[in-house]
Amino acid sequence: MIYVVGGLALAIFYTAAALGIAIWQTDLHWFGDITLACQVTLSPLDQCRLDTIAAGWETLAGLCMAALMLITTLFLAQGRQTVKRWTLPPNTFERSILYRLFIIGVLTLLCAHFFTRITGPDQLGRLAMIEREGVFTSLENLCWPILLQLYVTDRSRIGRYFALTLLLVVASLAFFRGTLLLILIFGIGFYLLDFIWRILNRRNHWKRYRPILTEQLIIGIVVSLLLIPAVITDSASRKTYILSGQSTTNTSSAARQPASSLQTPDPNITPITLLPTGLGERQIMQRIMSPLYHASMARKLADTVPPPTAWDGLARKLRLSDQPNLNEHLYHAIYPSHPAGQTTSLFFGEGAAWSSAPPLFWIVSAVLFLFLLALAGERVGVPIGLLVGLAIWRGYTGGLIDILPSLMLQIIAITLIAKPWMKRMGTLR
Amino acid sequence: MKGLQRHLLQLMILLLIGMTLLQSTWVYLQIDGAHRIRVMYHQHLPPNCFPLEIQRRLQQHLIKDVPGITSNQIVISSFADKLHLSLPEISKPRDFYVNLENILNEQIKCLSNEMFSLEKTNIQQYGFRLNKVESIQVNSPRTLDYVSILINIIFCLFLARLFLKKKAQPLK
Repeated sequence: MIYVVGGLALAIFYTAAALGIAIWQTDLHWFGDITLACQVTLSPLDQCRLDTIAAGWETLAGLCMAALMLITTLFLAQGRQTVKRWTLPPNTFERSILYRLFIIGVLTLLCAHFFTRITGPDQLGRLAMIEREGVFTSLENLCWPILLQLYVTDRSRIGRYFALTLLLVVASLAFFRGTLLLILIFGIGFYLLDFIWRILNRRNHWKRYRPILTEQLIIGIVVSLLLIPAVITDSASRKTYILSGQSTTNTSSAARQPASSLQTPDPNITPITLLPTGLGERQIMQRIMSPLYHASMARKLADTVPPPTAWDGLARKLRLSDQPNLNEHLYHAIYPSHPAGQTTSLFFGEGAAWSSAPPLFWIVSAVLFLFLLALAGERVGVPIGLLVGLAIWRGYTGGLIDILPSLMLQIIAITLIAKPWMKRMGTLR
Repeated sequence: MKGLQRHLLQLMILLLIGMTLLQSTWVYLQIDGAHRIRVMYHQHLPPNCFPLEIQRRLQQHLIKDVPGITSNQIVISSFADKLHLSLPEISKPRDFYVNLENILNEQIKCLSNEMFSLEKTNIQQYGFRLNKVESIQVNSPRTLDYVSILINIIFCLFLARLFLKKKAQPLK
């Protein structure tokens, strides 16, 4: 359950950071993409900022309330009782044919992706590459949480190393640094926390867990040495891209920047020239704040334009419809000239667009639903704690409906791969 | 310790019941048959023009022309080359919105002269055209409200079961 609590803690931390920056940054003219988002509802920037801060407080309150219920329930459900723990036996990888088939399938997918990458045109921009390799990215996004779940559940070294190797390849092929970050946070950070928690609760077991802790630390160092320079290079290339006058989100959005001489969003505001100094910091702050602004826009836009329904979103995720889902609809509203993309409108945006009650209620219910799912999985012996923890984070950013189809597919896959081999192993306390 | 746990569980159950009741009340109190008018205008504006000033003037006009309406009740957005206007239902004939279209077009001509220094021949190609006026019922419960209430009830039942289990255990 540490992954579930961790996913929620991550969401709370992110919201608090975004809210803090939104309160602190009073001058939005420095943030091109946020200014664009505010212009959709024709709100003056100050009003837009105040609406966003209100959305931030409501999101934070909802998440904290859900966290309170979750932690209290976990504490009360376990208390000082003896709790059985499910785990995979050490030789699952050798015995489970589905496990091996899954690993072979992911390997084939990664090879195909790599082949497409190296045989494609050299001069394609980042956005064009994302579009060209979209199918591979979607399938990898479906697979890597399963790999990560197997990695933290499996007790066989060979299975763990296979999963880890494939995860690193996925992270290196991914277009989004968030993938790598989540693999590090959930696969190493929370995994280590889980072990420390168990050691604290079991006396004289340091010797048993020491090899695993050492292994994790070595993996952490190796991964950092291999991938962090690549991330720094990638960030530097994006910075050059921005300095060349293009937004990271949309190549054509620069045309709608308020600095344009023709554009007059507010005659009372003096245009400020965007200086390259501190651009990186502003980009990071903008990235952190954007989901809150998108969520606030979702609420305001839903008042004037009917948003796509939840069924549209589900059908779109299952590739049964070409109609845009809520996040695509918002992206199109904010960056109309770009053909495809999605915003991150949070649980809040989903609640604001599809519920008649304040979004706070939906935020609490969405987290409780995922928590109930994790409890049910634990009860029947399907290891889905990490999948649900990740789903809380991903759902928090993109909405529950957005992640539900992939979560269900992942749970089915992990049930088929691991369930027949799950054994009750010892006790926690 | 067990006593404290039981009290905590009771508190959580009460909190959840309270939240569910509040949400249900909120949702059902809103079924008041309130309607809003949604108006959509096709917009064709000069390049890079963003109609904040037009919005301001339109809002001023509406507040002046429709007694009882406040600026907070008027929501305007610009999406997919259309200007969307949402306001509480008012008994105004369609002519009212056609009239608004004329006002908007006057504004754009005026703005084009003032701010964009465009020639008269160019101004003619820009403007607004009334596309749709619809009345929609707002504040009616939606599927997500029912889903949310259902999740709360299930979680509440789960906690109640936990409470009963704890109660069955003897106090140490």
